[in-house]
Amino acid sequence: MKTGSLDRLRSRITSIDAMPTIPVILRPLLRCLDQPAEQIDVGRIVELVSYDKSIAAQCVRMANSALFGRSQPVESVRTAFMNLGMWRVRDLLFSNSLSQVIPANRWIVDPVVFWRHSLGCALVCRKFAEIIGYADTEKAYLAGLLHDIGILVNSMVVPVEFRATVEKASREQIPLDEAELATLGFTHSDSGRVLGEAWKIPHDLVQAIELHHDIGDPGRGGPLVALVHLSDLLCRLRNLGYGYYEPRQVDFANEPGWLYLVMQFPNLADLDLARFTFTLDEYAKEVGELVATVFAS
Amino acid sequence: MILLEETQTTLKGWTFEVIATDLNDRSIAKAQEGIYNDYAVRYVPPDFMRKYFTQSGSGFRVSDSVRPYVTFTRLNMLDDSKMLFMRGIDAIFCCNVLIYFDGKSKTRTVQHFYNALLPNGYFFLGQSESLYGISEKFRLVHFPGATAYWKAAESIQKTGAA
Repeated sequence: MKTGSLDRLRSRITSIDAMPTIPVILRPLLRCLDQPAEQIDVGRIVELVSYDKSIAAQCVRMANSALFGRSQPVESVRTAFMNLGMWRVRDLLFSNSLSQVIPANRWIVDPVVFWRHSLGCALVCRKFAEIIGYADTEKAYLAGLLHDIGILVNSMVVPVEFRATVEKASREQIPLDEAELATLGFTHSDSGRVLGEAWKIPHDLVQAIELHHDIGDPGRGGPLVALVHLSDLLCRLRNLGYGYYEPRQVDFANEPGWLYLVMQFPNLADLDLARFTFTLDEYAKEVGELVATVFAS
Repeated sequence: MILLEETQTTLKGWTFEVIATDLNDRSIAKAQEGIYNDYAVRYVPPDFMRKYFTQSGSGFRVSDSVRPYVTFTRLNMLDDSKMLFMRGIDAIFCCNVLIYFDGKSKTRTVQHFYNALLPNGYFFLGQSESLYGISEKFRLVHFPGATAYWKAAESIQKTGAA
C-alpha cells in the first residue's frame, strides 16, 4: 500500500472510537513469549492465568475433554496445566484474550472460523519453523496467530462495507484480500498493520501481518513473512480457511515464499510436503477442540 | 457420478470414460456387480445416493445410468507390455496400492502412470501416501481439501520427457 493511502487509512482507523483495544493480558503475555522457549518465564504465565478465572476454567475443561481422554477427571488448574502442556495453555490464553477484543455481536466473520484459521496457522507456522531450523519458533507461532487481526479492525471500523466484502468473497469464491481491495480499497493486511502499530506489537510481527498475502520481494520481509504466507495458504487449503470454498491449485514448490525459504534454509528442499500436509488434519482436530473450548463459555 | 453431473454444466459437451482395474479377477467381478455396503458409501452425499443408488438387500446398487461409462479390466501395473497401452489419460486414482510394492516396483509403476497421463494430467494417491523418494517427475499441487501430483506441461518441455 502506498504511503499516502496508508496514512489516510491510519488516521481514519485511529480516529474512530470503535478501534479494538489491546486486551490487558495480551501485552505482558506477548512480552513473556517474545523470547526463546527455554527462557520463557513459566511462573509468570501461571500468574497471568490466575488473573482470569474464565481462562483457568477453560484450561480445566479442555484437560478433561475427549482429546486428552483421562480416566481421572482433572480438577485443579495446576494439574490441567501439566496435562495440557505449556503450549496448549498459551493457545488458550491467546485465543481467549483475543476473542474479547471485539464484542460478540460485532463479529462479521464467524469467530469460530476465524480462530480455527488463526490458531491453525500459528501451529503450522511453528512446525514449519522447526522443520527448516528457523531460530525463533515462538515468534513464528505469534506471527501465524496474529496475521489476520486486520479482520477485527475491519469488523469494528467499517462493519457494513466489510460484511458486503465477506459476502462477495464467499459468493464469488475469491480470496478475502482480493474482495477487500475491490470494495474497501484496502485489505485486512493494511488495517492489521495499523492495529499492530497502535498495539506496539514488535516490528517483525507487524511486517508479517502486513505482507502475508502480498509478499512481493520475499527478501524484504525475511523468513517470518514467507513462513506466515505459506502457512496461511496451506491452512486455507486444508479445511482451516475462512469457512468458504476457494477453488485454486497451488504449487508450493514454485511459490516465491517457498523458493526464498529454500535458499535461506536448504533443508526445506528435503521436506516431504505431502506428508506434512496430512499432519495438518491432526492439527485441524486439535484446533477445533481448542476453539470449541473457548467458545463454549 | 461427479463427471456426469459436471457434463450438465462446466463440462458440457465433454465425453469421458472410466477405466477400472485390479489384479484379481474376483475383485473385478465384485466391482462389476456395483453393490456397495454402508461403509463404502459413507462419504457419498445424500443427493447422489438418491439419484445414483437403489437399495439392494443390505447394500446399495449403483444406477444403470452410470455403468456404461465404466470399463472393468484386469491389469498388472508392473506388466510393461500392458501398461504401454494405457495412454491419453487425464487423471489416475491409485489409492493404497503402492504401499504394498517395494521401492523399485513403486518407481516403475509411477513411471508408467506418468507416461499414461496427458500433459497437465493429475495423479491422485490415497490419504497419507506420498511420492517422496519415489519420483521427482510430478509436481505436488494442493487443492482445497486434496493434494495431487501434476504432470506439468512446462516441465515436460524443459526436460524433454514424453
